[in-house]
Amino acid sequence: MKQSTDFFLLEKNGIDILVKKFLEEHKVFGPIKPGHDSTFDEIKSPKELHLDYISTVLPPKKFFHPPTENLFSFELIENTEWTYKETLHDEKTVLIGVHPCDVHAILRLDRFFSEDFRDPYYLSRRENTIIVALNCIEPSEYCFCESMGTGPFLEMGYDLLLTDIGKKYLLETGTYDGKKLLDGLKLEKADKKDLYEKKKLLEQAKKKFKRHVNTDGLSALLDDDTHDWDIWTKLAENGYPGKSFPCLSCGSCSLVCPTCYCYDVYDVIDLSLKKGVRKRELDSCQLLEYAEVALGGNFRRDRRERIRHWLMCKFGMAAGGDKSGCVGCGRCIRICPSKIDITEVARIIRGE
Amino acid sequence: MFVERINMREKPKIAVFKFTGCAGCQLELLRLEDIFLDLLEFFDISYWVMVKRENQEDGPWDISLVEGSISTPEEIKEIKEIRKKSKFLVAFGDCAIGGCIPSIRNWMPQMEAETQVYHDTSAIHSTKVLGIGEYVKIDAILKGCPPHRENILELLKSYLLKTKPRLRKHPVCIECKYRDNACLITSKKIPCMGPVTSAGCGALCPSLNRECEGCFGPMSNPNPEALASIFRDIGLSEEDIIRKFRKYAGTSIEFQREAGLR
Amino acid sequence: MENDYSPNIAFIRDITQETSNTNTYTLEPYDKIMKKKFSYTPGQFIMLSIFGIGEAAISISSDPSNNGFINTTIRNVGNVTNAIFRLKKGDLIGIRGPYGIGWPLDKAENRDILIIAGGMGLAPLRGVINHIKNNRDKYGHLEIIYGARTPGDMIFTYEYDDWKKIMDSTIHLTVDAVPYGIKWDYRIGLVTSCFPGMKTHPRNAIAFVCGPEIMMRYVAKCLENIGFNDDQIYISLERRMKCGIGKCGHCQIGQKYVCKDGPVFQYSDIKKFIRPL
Repeated sequence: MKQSTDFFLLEKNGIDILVKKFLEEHKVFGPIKPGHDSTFDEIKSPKELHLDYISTVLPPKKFFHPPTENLFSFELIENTEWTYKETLHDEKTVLIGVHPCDVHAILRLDRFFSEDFRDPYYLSRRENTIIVALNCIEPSEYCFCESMGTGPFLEMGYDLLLTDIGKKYLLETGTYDGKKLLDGLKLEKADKKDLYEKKKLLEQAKKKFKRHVNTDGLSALLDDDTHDWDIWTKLAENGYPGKSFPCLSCGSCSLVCPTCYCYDVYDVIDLSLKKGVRKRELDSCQLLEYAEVALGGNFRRDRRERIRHWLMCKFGMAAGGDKSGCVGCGRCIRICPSKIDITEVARIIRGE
Repeated sequence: MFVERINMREKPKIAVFKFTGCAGCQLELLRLEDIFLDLLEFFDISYWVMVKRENQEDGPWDISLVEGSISTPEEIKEIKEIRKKSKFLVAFGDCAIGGCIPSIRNWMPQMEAETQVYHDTSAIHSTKVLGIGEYVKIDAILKGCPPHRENILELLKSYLLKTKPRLRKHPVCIECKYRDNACLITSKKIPCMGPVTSAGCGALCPSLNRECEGCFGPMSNPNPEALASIFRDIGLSEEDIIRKFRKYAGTSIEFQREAGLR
Repeated sequence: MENDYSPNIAFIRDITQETSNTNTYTLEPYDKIMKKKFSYTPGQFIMLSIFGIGEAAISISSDPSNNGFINTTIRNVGNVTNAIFRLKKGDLIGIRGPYGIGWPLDKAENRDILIIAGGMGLAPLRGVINHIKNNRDKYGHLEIIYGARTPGDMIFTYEYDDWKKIMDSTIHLTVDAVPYGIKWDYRIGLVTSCFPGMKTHPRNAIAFVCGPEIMMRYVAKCLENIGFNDDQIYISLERRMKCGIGKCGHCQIGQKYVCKDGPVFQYSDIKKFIRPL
């Protein structure tokens, strides 16, 4: 529910008060390390939180669509009698310190997992989670959210929003749930000057990006199936000149991608052969086994086809459409041992 | 609705054999200790010299787990005998699959290797160190040095259920990312073999900030050439790169070029 | 919350052996309400499930007039299908669905229908043939071209006599090879070798094609050569599927999900994604 926005100011150590308040009734998760390779993890006391993080290895996707999870368990009691139990999670959770790109990614996954068939596993977690977002004042060298329209500042998708405006944090409410979370806290109201400061910082942040993608007309270029882009072959065989190594098909890019949702499903049965679980775990289209069908047929056997599929998907040209498209978080660029850079690929396709 | 184990008049008989190797794979079997007695409900251990005094020497065995590589003419004869008496023969661990660490000696002249170890080489008549698949047909492989206990269990369960075991063929990177690990190559410039190595270990080493040594051997459709150039880029010498690829699976088709086969 | 991942239960009411490695199963939903509600179009698929092994996407091979019984024709090729082959009459099996988009029977009304199937590809088309048989006046000429590797690989052989009796219809059978000692009165060659003797004229026809992808590509090309437009051709694709409901991503082909946007596609919509690369 969209509410009128309240603007507050928070001392730097005011975050501690906020976190303590959250901890009263929620599990709280946030970045626990500074730097590029931080991780979102459980925060049990305010001092564990590191809002000075740059990025995390896995995006907050891992809370809603974890790397591995049980769908249900089953147990055979007698010949034709068994028990069956769904494994749904609905713990009240607060995610704090989520960057704008990741919030946008969550919004896309929200749409993806609720359209047509609803995914109860994703949605039950999601519906019980409050997002406290954090605007980005200092985009990292890998970031290009500005090009993708997903940052560096956030306009939607948050319950609460923090912006570091120098000596203090500007705290904005986005939803009723967010507002309610602040109940009982005595907070200083922000004034016009603070909002102006935020605006100024946004303008400054926009200028700090080192990576850009011109998305204008990119999909039309890729959709032109009369053109066989040799970039896919290059990525699979040599890397693009002087800058990258060939793709390893290691799948890291898709696993750290905040909008990649593909998963595999399998059963695990214990040694009694009577008790087991059906699991799902994140899969990657970069893996040979991904498109394998019965009798060893494979619809994307070549490395070239696989890296092409992933990049097309991120450019919004696969079945997930814009819901699986890129949000410019830069994780895949940082994680790729072969230094394959999606912004560079876009430039090459555009002939720039 | 519920999977049923295949009907068997008696428990399948398991045999465990060791050739040229370190017995680590067998130890990994013993590491199933918390469920070892449960296993005995389903299987009979018919031959396993390491744990049993009385062994049934002449088979036949339903499942034979063969550890170690083949490195002497006697071993060639023996493995062929075992094959004849085994219904389901498993190359149990990297040595049995492709020679693993013992196969490093394939890369030097035979005499040189022998004189490095023995004063008198007159009684030594070794062959090249090869996996058992060079001499007999194998029905399944369990990758790893040693294989992870969960994979062993998966294989044994799949035997009872008559299914294809779900053994990971994708790279260690996948399991590494599941654990939210940063990439050792890109973050710390540590030469990790993860991107070309088969998963199944749960990304054990990278999770402890140690590079993957490659002990599960090549993943499906790896790109070792690309990884070698990455290693070069982060400062490894050609010798180091060759050593890395030789260590566990230098004889494999996937790695042999980077391991120095010209 | 409704959970589309949790399987319902069905009885296996009958098992018919088709070939050495293919059976047709007759399933009846355990739940009476589900049995009543279970409506489908030929060409749609279900997810069959065995606890402890997993799930597999299998196409429905019956037509909806089957009184709540569902036929599904399965080849024993993987873990799940192998486990299904170990089930007996009266056993239970997990079932989800039906999913996907089937053959456009409404669009086919008043038109001549050309059915081209290869091997197991006849399974999702059997419902179409029987539907036409039961609603003969709604459709024009029916022509069936069915090819298999050998005569022993043909499925639904016990129904061919009935199909031959369908008014205003033609049926061509062809195999790639006939093993020594097997009697075979029909053609030897690819399904496209039946084209010269084909009665269907592209003018008011619609073609339903299902078989190995390489065959479908070739058949579609040949159909275009003899005057079919690509919007007159429908094909049913096979892809790896883990969820059946457009979430797991495995069945993506270009901008389509086979499980959700297919498995039956108008050829014009899918053509550019299945071109050989």
